[in-house]
Amino acid sequence: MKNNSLVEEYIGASIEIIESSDKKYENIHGKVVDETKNTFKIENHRERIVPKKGCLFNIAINDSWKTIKGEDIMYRPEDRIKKLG
Amino acid sequence: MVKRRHQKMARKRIDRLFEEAKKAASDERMDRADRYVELARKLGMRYNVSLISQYRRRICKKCYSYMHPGVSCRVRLRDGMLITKCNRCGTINRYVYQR
Repeated sequence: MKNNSLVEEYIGASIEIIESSDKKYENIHGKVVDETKNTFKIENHRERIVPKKGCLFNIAINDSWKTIKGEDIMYRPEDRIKKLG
Repeated sequence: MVKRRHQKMARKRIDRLFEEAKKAASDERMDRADRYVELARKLGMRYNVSLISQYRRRICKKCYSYMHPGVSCRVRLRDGMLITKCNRCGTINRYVYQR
């Protein structure tokens, strides 16, 4: 496996958006509560649905922060292992 | 070998999802718990990994909702059986236990 962090489970992990093509999504941080092919649902005080496309994420996987490009993980959560693993 | 590697990862993610489902159910967020069960089952089906019996017992056999005693199901012990009733669909699941 080249990049292990792309196939991990993101639900329950802390996440922050460090860069986005849409300024309104920048600096959102919180916990991932749901994932679809194209979006993350992030909860901090309120729930927000953030597209994966065009965003650069910092995700805490196994207690270390990994920087992940949204375009690299645009698959259904259950397909990610097969497509990227 | 690729298959084994995928299955190993799938098992790890299923464990993680059930952990999160338990947390969500304790906060009475059943919508989330049910969604995590759905994702865990999909992972199992995609990579041919069966859910271990502890996990199967936490899912309603009919409507696949997450069963958290006191929140989404009722649990009784009777005549050597563990009887759970799903609060969403009313299905009664029975499991034999050793006295």
